[in-house]
Amino acid sequence: MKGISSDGVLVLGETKCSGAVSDTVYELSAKARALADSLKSSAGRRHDVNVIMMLDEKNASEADLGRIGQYGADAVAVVRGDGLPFDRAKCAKILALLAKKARPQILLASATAFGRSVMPYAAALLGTGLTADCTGLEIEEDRGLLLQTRPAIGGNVMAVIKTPNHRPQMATVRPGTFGIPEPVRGRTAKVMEPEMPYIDDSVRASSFEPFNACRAALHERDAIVSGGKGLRRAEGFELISRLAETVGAGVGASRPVVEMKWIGYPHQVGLSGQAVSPKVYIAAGISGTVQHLAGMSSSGKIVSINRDPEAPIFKVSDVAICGDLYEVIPMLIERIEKRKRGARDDG
Amino acid sequence: MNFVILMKQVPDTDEVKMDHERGVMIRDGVGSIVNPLDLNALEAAMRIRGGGDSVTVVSMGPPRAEESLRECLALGADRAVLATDAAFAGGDSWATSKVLAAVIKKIGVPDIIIAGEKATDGETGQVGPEVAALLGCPVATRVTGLKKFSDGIEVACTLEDGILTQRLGVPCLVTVLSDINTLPLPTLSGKKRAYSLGVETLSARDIGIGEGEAGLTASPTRVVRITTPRVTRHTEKFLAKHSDELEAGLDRIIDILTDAAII
Repeated sequence: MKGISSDGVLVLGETKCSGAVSDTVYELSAKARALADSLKSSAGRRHDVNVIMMLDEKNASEADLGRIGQYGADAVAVVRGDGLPFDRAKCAKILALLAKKARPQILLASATAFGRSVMPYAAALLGTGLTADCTGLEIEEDRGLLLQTRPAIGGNVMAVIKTPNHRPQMATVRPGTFGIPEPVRGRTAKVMEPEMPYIDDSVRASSFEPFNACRAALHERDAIVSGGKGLRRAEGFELISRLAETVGAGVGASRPVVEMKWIGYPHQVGLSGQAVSPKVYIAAGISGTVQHLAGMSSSGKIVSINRDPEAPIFKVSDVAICGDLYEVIPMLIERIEKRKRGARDDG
Repeated sequence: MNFVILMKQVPDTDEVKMDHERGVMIRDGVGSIVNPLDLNALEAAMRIRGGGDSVTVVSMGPPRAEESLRECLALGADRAVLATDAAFAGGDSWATSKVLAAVIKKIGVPDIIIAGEKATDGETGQVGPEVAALLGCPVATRVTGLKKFSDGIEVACTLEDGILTQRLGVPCLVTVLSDINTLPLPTLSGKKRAYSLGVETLSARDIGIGEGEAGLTASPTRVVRITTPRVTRHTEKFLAKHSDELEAGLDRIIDILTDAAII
């Protein structure tokens, strides 16, 4: 296929709810670039990084797509179709076709609803292995294989996994794991539309109803404020939301409070909810069960507020405040607002 | 409309204890349960099945997974099939999916296949979509609403940022989240029924899986090593009852938020 013939690294990208390119695409492109460079140093030549975007008819402009180049992609292959991103089986068939032609050594996607449905489907079509929800990727020095690290057994241990004899080596990556580096201005990726054979739709009709007018999803947030049973009542989430709004964070929750219907499932962080890795995670009234820790312990910095001095969450925290969250959080909000006013006055 | 439910027997995670020295799970004395989301999958089928429809639960696992299949029969399934063979042991999600797809082909591809979104032990969430790919049928994941729609089903999927509603023709495979329903309690009559029905078992040979085509040997992925994450965080602890400590703690949070360019 013209354009993306490469034995380098292929990234399956996705768009945000708004139709713009998701931050995870920049994150993965940059990581893919680093991996491709490691492959180069072991094989002595340069490997390409290509991104595949499955788009709805109107999503993502060409300029928006070209900008992926600032993060390390050489080319972006675009496949468009009405409702295409929601037709997971069709996306997987397209991905498998493109991967067979491009023959990448590595194929990555984010561990989002999209990535975690399209990638396994495609892996089975390609007859290769796939490692879910990785929090570490590196190239093995001697054989140039991809070492894929993922939390296992509720995050109690890390498993390092490789795919020795099948290609591509596929992995989904927990969003936020690597962060987004500074873009290299002036670089741009070649945007192309590869020729595709006709593939039947696998779903008949799709409609999408966003929560709260496309507010950023949990995994797209730089900061998350989560509440747990320590809130003692459903209304406690009003305080959590106020703190979250003050710092521009997403609202998370532990499993018990979601089960008690204090807040909806999309907010659930942990093994049975979403695994997140924001720059800052603030846990209020969350004791820190194994299941919850598995979904957030890879965050950049962790702050916890809990009345119980023995709460397990304290052990994985950078800052632990032992006290009543109903006293501590209002003071914190006040402090942050004062700080913001101060910064404005200085500027 | 006929149903197949994919079920995995998992360790009872509420009882899981870690051997922190060696970084492995202590399995001794830990009970086994039906993967909780697979119970939601079964219940989803029970709620939309018609009088003449059949619900079959399929599992791959060691012989003792039979107990978990019996539990599914007690909850209303009509038939339970266990693929069990030493050759299946140690398989990754792809090798497991191959076995499950072969079982489904052997017993007859149903209209709807339902599975839990992921299992509490492996937590990959990959087997559902992989089985769908091997059967060449559409897939929907994170399903929290399911109803019949003319000759197919309509599903509501709870994604990260909204609700996706889709119509799928048959056959199709869906994976469900716990929000889809609340689970019924087992009944005595159900348990009696389970006893009378029994569990069918299939070996590798029964489903046409040859030597080296399943289990660890057929798995593309290999675990290289298991490590216990080092505690890299140096926890600064502040007691809120001492106002100076609380002040210092709040200052540290402000520092963290500022350093991360959050505020």
